[in-house]
Amino acid sequence: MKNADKETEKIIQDKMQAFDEELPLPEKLNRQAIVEGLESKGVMVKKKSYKGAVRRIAAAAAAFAVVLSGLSLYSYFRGGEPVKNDDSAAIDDSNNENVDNAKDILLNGIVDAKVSEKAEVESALSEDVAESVSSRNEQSINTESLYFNPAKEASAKIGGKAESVTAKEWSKFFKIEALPYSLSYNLLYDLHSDSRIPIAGSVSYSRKGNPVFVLLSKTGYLMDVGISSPVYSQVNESKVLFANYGNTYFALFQYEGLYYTIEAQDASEAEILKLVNTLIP
Amino acid sequence: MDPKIDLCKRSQTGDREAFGDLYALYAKELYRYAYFVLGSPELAADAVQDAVISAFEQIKSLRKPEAFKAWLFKILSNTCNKHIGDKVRQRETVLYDDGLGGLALVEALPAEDIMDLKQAFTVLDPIQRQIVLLCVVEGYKSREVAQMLSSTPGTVRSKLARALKKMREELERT
Repeated sequence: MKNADKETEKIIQDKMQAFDEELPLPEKLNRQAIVEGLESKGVMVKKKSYKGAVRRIAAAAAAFAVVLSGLSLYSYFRGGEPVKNDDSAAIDDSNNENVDNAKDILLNGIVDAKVSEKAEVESALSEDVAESVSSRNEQSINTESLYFNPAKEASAKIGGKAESVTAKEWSKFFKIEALPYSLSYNLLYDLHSDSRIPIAGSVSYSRKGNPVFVLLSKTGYLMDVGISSPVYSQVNESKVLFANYGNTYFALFQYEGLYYTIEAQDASEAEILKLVNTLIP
Repeated sequence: MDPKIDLCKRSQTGDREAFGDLYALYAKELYRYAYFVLGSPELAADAVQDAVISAFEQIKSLRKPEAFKAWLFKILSNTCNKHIGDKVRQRETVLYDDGLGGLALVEALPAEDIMDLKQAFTVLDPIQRQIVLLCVVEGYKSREVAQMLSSTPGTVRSKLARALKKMREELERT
């Protein structure tokens, strides 16, 4: 930690001490008021319930039975022959080809090159632009900066179709190799595109429970960095997902069916949102 | 046995008085945290009240009584985030200036130090405020704060460094 940071911490701690002396605790937060509140509202300590667990086990067993019987019936009507997955080779070829052509496709379609050019991003972040849009920002941006697990919720937040894939499938697109202790790998596809190139991906660790979110870069490769705790916001009608890695901010948003990515150095979340607001009429 | 752990265990049996005693030990810290995250005494009091009720309801699920304080702060942090979300949803107009949808630090306390401090916190977004308060004021390590905020230690450290830089600039300016 820098000396300057330490000094700032000291200043904050000193000022906070003065704050503690000055600030009285509101009456509703007195010990007695809290205890009386718990009593008057009839708040009880919740007991551990086993009903939910039993229900879940029963539901899982029922689902398993349905799948098993379905497979049996399918096998019976197909004359007992094992079902071949004829698509597997084609999908593999398609994926390799897609990765090779990712740059062209991205520049032409999914990612607007104009948006992704860092120079323009930086210039758009300049004070002039920020000032020119500040009045519009005040009326049109609705931020809902709540952290969530991207592995499960990215598709619900920004659209697209999330598919749970194997570590091997995931590794075809991501430079990050399959991570140890991972529970689930997800790829997020554009609903409006026939291409099988994901626009984003995420993986959840099982050991620490820390989700990692990765965005597709403008060069066509998925960024080989772990980005944790992305934030979801809304600008006009567009939903924006953004996250930082060190001092670099990444944002992904959808506008009129197309996905756009933004990468900016040393920009705050607010500045990124301002920039998105300038790009969405 | 540590009296705090004893109080916590009694609270887990539904003893409201014991929970009240336990709460009283941290009441001021909780209020201070919510005050600076939400920027308003009224909202802070509501958030602490909600968090404490929620904590009492869920205290049976707390496996390590010695971690009560960190657990309580985690609940309060979630409650503050919910209040911010509710506030944002209720308003169509959201200002960026303080990162809280236009919520201002409304009441004025006379001391110059406090005014400076409040002003310095307004330049941070809600997450940065929480990180500064937990790391600098409450003394938690980045690993612990990461667990509380469902983040990673690296992210917490980088956000803390950036927040301190912003606060330093603001404090120097004022």
